[in-house]
Amino acid sequence: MRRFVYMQQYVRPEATRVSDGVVIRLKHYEVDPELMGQQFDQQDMPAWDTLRIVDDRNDHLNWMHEHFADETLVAGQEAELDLGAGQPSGEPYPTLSEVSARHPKPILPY
Amino acid sequence: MTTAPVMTVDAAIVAELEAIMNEPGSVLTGVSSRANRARVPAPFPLHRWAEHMPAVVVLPRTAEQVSEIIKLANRVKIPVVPRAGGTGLNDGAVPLRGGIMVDVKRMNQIHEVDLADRTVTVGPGINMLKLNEELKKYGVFYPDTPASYPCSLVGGRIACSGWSLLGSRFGHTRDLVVSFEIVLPTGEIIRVGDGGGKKVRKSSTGYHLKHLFMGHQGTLGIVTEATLELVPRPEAEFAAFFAFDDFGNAHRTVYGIVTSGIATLAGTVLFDEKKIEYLRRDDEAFIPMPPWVNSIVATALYGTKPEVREASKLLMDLGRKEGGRYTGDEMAVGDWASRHDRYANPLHGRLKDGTVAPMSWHCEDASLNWTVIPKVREEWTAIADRYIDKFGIFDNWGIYCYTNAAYKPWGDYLAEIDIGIWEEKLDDESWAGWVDFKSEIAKVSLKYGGSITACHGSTRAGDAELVSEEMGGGWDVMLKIKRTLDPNNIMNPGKQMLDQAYES
Amino acid sequence: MTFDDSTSPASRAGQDGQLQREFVERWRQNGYNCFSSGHKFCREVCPVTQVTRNENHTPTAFHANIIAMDKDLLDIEDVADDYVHCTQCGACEIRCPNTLFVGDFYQARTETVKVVRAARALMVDKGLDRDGWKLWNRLTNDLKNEPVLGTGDGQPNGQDHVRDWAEGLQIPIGGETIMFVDCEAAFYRTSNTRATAQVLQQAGVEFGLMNEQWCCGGPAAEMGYVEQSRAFAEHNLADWRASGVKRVIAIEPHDYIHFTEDYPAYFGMDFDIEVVQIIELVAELIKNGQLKLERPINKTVTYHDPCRLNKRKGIHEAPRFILNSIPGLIFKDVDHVTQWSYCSGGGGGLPIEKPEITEAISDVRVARAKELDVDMLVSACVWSERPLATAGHKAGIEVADIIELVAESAGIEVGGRRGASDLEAAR
Repeated sequence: MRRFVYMQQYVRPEATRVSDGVVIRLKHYEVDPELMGQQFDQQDMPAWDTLRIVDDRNDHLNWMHEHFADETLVAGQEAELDLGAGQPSGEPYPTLSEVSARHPKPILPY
Repeated sequence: MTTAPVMTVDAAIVAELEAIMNEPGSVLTGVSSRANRARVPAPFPLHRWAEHMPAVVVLPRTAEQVSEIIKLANRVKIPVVPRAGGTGLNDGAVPLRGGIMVDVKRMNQIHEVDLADRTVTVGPGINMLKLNEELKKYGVFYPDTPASYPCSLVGGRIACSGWSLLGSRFGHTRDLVVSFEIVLPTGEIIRVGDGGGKKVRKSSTGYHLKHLFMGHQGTLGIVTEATLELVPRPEAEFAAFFAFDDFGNAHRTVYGIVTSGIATLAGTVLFDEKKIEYLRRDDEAFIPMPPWVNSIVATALYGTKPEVREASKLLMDLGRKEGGRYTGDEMAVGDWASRHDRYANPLHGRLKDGTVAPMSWHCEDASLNWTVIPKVREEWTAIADRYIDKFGIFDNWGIYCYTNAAYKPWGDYLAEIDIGIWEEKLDDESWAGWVDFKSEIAKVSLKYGGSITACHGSTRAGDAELVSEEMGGGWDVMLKIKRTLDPNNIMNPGKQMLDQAYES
Repeated sequence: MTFDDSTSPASRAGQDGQLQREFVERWRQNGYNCFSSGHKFCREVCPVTQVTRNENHTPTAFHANIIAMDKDLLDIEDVADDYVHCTQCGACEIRCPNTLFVGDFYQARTETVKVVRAARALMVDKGLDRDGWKLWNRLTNDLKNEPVLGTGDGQPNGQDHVRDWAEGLQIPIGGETIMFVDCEAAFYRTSNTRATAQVLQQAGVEFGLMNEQWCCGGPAAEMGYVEQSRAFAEHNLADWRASGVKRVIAIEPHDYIHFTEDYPAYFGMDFDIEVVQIIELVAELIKNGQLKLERPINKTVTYHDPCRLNKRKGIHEAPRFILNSIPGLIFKDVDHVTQWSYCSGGGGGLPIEKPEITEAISDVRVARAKELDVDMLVSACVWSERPLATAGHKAGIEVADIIELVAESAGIEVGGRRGASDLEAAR
């Protein structure tokens, strides 16, 4: 059960920078506030609203899967991004033809 | 002869429209009704809003009403502009010369679900997501799914000859609309299909009029009913994303996947370096990606469970063959499901100093063959850099290339470069700069044997001037058709340089 | 190019013009962020647009109007009637990709409800408020409760009657925790209110009633009567403080919104009252065994997600837990995301000004329930229960409040009136 208490909603913990332009707060990505406020203001969003949006987003994504198919299959494999880029096969691929694919210039009837 | 702008209508015409409509609140003359039907999501010259308002709006419910409205417009020579969802990334539904706007949102009925011959017949004002919510209980599905799937309407899909994210598996709008009813520019109500037959998918009788009117952009009439394909609801879906440090490797990976013969492949999407850079700004799946990632290939399968399960194993091998790294199950599930919102999620542009500014979205949507994509990408990016430097109100949101052929995933791609535009700062000079920017991008598509638009249509300034070049000898045929069917040039006048049909 | 410029409001100036300029200045950014995106993902979830199919009534238009005012294309006079077409359900806000996908990231989201309220406040300031709303709020101001049953024929209203519903229940006045009773619940559907009080009593929750309970002020805020709303809020907060109240149980979703969004906006850090919502409280009482649901209810039901709980607050799990805890009940659920596009039409003052649209929205909602082949549509919002029960009577579906079912399953004899359900059944 949620209990609405003003101070818990509007006092925000400090953020940690994770990349150029992105910080993390409450285990949640946010834009670096320094990039906001010049042309685009931030709002005084209470904590419950942020959490609600995140929860609703996840529910919405699940809904989209169910909307399009009875079952969502996954590879069941770990992400491989920590391994760095893989090696290409080196096999030859077709290349752009020297002959243009465009239609020839039209012969106009006047 | 071209149609003159009609920015106001007199009381007599309003009275005639009211008599045709015979329903309170269905003929709207107030400024709010007119101002709110002036724009679509395509870049809009905000500083010239008033020039794009219709003079009067009607909300019809039947084809007969539409027919009477068009006959009236012919008699008094008033432009007519149809509007369905108003979600196009072109400006087909934007009036250029005022006139009567025919807003078809009230024609949103499901007339018939035919499970025996596998069609559903609907009004043009229905949305595909809402239609599929209704169809779910029958175990069938209408698979026309653009990024605007939650908001675009069937009438607009036909008017633009739309493209679907699942088109390589299920076809695009032109393939999925079996036949439709259209009110001609002179008011006659006809039905067009491949030949005759409301529910016949293949015919050799007569000219294929469905294809003539598909993509008409409101210049050849108003669609009032459509009979659509029903496909079995997919048992299973599978998505996988692969990351690359080299665009060429990603580009070759796409080739390998689309030529593999996997029949359940619904589409692939290729993301370039600028797109990854853009997504790293605010997409939670991309923010933590290691710096070496500069391209992504996304893929999805739909079909029966045994088919999808087996094909997914093949797909996982193909995705890695040119050095791709699987980005994990969580991203596969989450990012594929976000394809409508994320792919239509502009707004947060960045200025050169990195600060966030509210921007509108231009989505160039060329059709390009696989071989030319790397060259086009280079040239488009260079053009964008030049205009961003010069005007300071544009932002390059990178390139997606989606499989573009119907029922087969190879050959050509919907290549889109997404450009942010800070519309609030537009004046005549920067708007002209924008049109030049747009035009330069489109010319690159033509230079490489492509088409300037895969699905949005070519009515935008910067595109419209190039239609004759792309169409070649066919342009003259188009003009003859336009003049024959619309002798008074009342249907959506001013679009696509079609005024040329009346210059002689 | 010729176009008629005569409707341009640029020439209309004076103090009225200043009020509009202030409105535009305050909301222009929110308006532009929607206008420039233009994706309109809101349209098909908007309950009003679903039935009127008129683009004037879309959330997109509500934002675009601000930009049009900024560009001197139109005036609040031109769009006043458009802004009446909103139940403030919040579907558009959550379905907007600028909220759902990046609102949390940028700490800035689409705020259609605030825009509509501000436009209505401007209408009040400029004397453009609708007659029905004007009367409703004048009577509320006089009575200190909303005239939910009218004022004729000796209809009880006001402080002397605000606790009539509680007859025989022996609920104390004041205390650390109070149950705040909504006007509709206090005068109209009193079965709901009695059920709530008795459920809490049976579970051993100590609570009292307010000393001098005025309307929460929420409806006034929704219709644009900002000063009245604030005056009511100030009275209520002062009353709570005077009797040592620390915690308020909001038994009605509109009140919960008002206490957790408007009161904090009015009082800032001085708002030191804890607020809990009844549905979540009752779910917790069931979970921890304080409330036992043992009497079976042999009915097949579906649940209507009240907009202010589901779309605006994300409260959708607790009611489903409760319904699944009632023995004998067959619960045919429709998920809460699908229900973003459902509504009763009962909110935002719409039934006062546009009853025919409320009726159409309720008819659509009940028809969706009817398709599920259920006996009963269960809601958790007393304001939704009046239009839904009216539509339900036409369609042959009973409409009940979830707490009424909880009380029945807990073996409580509730009493009280079930509002439209009684009235419709009697016809």
